[in-house]
Amino acid sequence: MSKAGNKINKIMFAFFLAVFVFAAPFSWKTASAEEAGQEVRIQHYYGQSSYSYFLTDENLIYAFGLGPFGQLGDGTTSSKERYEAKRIDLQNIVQLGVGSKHILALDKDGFVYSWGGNTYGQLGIGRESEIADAMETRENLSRFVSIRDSAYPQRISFPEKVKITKVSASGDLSVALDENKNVWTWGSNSVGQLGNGAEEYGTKSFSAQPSKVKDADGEGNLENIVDICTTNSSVLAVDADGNVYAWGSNFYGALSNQDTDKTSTPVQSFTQNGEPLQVEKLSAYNNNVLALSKDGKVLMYGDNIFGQRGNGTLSVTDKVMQASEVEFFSDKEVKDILSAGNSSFVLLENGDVYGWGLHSKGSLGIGDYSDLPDDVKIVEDGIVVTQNQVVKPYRIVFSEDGQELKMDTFAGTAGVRTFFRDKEGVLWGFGDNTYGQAGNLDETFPNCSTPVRTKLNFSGDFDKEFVMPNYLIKPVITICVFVVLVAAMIVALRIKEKKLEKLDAEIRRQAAEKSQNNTENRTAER
Amino acid sequence: MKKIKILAVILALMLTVTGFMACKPSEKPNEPDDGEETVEPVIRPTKPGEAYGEGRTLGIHLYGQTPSGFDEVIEEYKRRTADIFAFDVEFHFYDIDTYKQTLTLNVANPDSNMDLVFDAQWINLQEWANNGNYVRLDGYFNNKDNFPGLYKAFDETYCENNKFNNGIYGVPLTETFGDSTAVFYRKDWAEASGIEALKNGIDNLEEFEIYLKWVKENKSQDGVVPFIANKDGNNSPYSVIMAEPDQVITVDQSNALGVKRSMQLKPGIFADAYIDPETGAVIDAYIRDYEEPSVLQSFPQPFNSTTIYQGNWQWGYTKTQQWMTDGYISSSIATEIDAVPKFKLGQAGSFVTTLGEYTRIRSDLVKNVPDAELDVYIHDKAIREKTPHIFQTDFKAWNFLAVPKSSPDLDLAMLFLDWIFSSRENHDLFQYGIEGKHWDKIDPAAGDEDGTYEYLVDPAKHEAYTFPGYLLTWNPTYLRMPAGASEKVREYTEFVYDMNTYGETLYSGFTFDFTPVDAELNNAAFGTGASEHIPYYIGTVKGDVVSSWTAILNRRYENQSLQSDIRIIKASLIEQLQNYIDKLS
Repeated sequence: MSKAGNKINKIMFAFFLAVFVFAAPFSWKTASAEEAGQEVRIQHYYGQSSYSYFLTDENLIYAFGLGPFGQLGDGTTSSKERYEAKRIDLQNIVQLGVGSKHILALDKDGFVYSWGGNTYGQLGIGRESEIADAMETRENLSRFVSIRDSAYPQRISFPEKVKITKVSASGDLSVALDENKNVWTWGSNSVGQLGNGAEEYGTKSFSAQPSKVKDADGEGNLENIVDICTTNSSVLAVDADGNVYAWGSNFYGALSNQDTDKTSTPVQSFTQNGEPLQVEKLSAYNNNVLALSKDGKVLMYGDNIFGQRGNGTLSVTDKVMQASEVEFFSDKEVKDILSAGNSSFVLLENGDVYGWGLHSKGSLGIGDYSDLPDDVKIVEDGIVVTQNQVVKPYRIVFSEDGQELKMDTFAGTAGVRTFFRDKEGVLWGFGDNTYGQAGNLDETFPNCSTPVRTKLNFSGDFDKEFVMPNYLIKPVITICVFVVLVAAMIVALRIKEKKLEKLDAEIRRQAAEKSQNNTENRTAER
Repeated sequence: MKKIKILAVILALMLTVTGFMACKPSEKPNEPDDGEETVEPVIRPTKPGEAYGEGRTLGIHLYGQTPSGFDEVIEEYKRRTADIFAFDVEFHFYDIDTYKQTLTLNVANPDSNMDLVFDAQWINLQEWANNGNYVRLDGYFNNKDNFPGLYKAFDETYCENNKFNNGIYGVPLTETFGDSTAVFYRKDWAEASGIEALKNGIDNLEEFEIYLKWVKENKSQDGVVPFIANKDGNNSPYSVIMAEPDQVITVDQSNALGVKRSMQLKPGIFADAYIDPETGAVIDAYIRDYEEPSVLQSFPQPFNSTTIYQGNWQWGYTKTQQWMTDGYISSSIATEIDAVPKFKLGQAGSFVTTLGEYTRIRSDLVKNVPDAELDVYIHDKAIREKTPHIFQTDFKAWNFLAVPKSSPDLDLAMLFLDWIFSSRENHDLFQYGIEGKHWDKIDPAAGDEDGTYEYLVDPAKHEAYTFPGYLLTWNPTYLRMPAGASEKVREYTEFVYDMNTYGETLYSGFTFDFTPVDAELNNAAFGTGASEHIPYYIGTVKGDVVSSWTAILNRRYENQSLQSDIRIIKASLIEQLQNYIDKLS
């Protein structure tokens, strides 16, 4: 190839390379939720009444709803609801904890990120003096943006180098479990929920950085813990033997001990029969706790305002102060439990799901309350006195095209809406759908009172249906485009080369011809 | 350039200072003291044969029209009290606007003959209880020996819940602490339709829509409108559509969660507060419909979302608009000021009013349309299903009678009221008129010892006596069941009368003193907002109702002046409520 041809090749190659280098980043960064793509599996749901998070199988988080404290994690702090799910800039996330105004995210490497409201230091990023000053001047009244809040995820620094294995959040409280089986807390300490053994605590008591929970004596640290969960203002911890310890508020019986006082150090929990509470699984939300005992029983404790006791009773005054069996399940094989606060759910081994408690805006997924039998309501003198409370477990029917479906796992709850996965891995949900958060825009709006397949909204329009985009599509397209460009470049170069070769050949031929003519002329002259 | 920089710095400083001034927290509101000293009550005259109050006149000032037959009732009153009272009684009635002006101008004038006046929280009572215009009346209540009538009709709890400025400054007037509205419709038309779903009456929204459709298709050619209402948005189509909510929380349940609901700060401005049930600390408050909803995220479920306060308004507004499109609502509703007579004349298929109006409505309807039959559809699902404790109440009356401090005739006013409330006979004279002339007592049904009543109406000789009991005589002790009512009306009237229907709101004795934040409560946005919802309620909005109402809400949320005033109002509310709670504990 000639030098000119080589130079042209280099210029053309540089040109195409420049196009790729400048175009590719845009194709990555401008990938947006408006674009349709392949459907992506949702691993888990987390949320509160007015905001939602979906954690995908790719360990990415999508958020939407009302995030005035920065809960949407992308810098927005608007008081308007956002109906469109947008990705938060975090990767490899395995679990979330959602408080009333803040969120914790745990990644595969055991790091914890937080964002949202920070009125009581629940983000764990320090700034104690600012928080204390604000409390003194009552600036935290109705505020939704402040220097103490964070609208972007920030990584939390723990005093020790530890890998966190689970996070939990509720109210203004944050809790984490580390690989060494110690428990860390930060946030509000209004009723001793930090578990730090402090003798004095109250509405202005808080911690803006994580510290370890003390043991029952208040001297050493609580150890050997394998699981944690939280009610609004108490923490429950399960040790390796299944024993349950709790601290914080006992107003609704979250400590399940023979006492009524709150405590700032862990106490062991007992059943109504006075035996130590030993569990396979514990689930808590708002003011209620569900437990799956070692011997397969379902127990509950907490308030019974909406019939959460599950035995046909309801009381606005009497709480269930110690773990009591929900006898309905005594002869059933229970696979899993899920507390949704005002309502409760149990998943059986055979895939059946039962729910009880408050059925408000479809939160139990059992359809029209008036169609339910009287034995799950409270009837006095022939009058049903419960408007939408189900006081005994009732089976929730999942069906599609006339076929009944069985569920495989729970996939998360926000109390007002709850999600499940069937054996095919499809996500189902029901409950409050005001902002499309139950995931179905085609069904009853604004709530889903029976289970529906969950689809997410990626448009501001309620009547448009989108599937979740696959963010891998754009890079693939980019690579394909690059390959095509390169191929085109190669083809162009080959054509050019051929032309140059022809030209070269023509020049050589002409040169040869000229030389021949010159030789003939010189010979003729002689 | 230097000059510009200096100017910019000066401007910045000015803005900063202005900003701080705007954010200046409100001054500590006047804490209500323990009230003024209560006056010593006048002791009854005990001298036999001597009627009290010779040569004096009791002036009673109310609003509304003078009832027909009222002179006869006054004469009968004088006849009955000739032995005990020698003072004259003069009633003065005004239209409401004139009444308010007259009251304001004369309340402090001892020569105005204003001895007993009507007032309410929605007029001046709260303010004038604080500023000394009215007499504190505590000594006249719970005083069995000297004022047995007041003792009988106003128990301690009733009095306690109706205090202002920690004292009794008004005599509360109410029969019940809630009322049931119902859709009144033409039963004869429902039956004539032949539709199976309407055969046994209308019992849900779906059936009511079937009825509306039938009226539209079969009666509109006669000029009949399926549903009629006034332009003010009260008893609107929207209220019927939204009466079957999928989220019903009773008062007891919200109390248990620590949510104090629906406090009226000023007419049209309502607030809810969340009080930690464990600590008694007021966590936050929420000004409904005006405050941007972030604050709700501090409230417990299900109160931490706007849906429980605003309902499924997206669905409701859309459906109301659809009713208008379908011709179920009168196309002239936006100018309608008196819809009910049209129903009575047979020109409408349905409308909404209180159950207590049943007898009167039926009487008038039949007078105009002899073959007509009336029935009611209890559209509120919670009432229809008789849910206990569904009406929240703080046991406060809506209307009161007060005695101006300038009046020289306090004793006459209290003696007069004591007489009215001392017996059913006395009470019924003013409330229902003269027995035999204006009403008859019907033989009591089994278990109904007080009997019932029915109007005796003879258009040729008499006019019905329709005294506005809410201005003088309403009292829970003297309820009567309306005769001539259908079985359904009686059934639900009993429900409204039953105290088990009511749930006492959390910290019911708390009364918000609006005076420290009156300026903020007068923010123009509240005034504008008071009527913005009306077109949506009556179905006259065109276009996308969800987007347009969302835009209205967002405009309020983004109104920095309004949100700033709301923060000041809430600070006052929270402080007052916390002080009240702390005093209880």
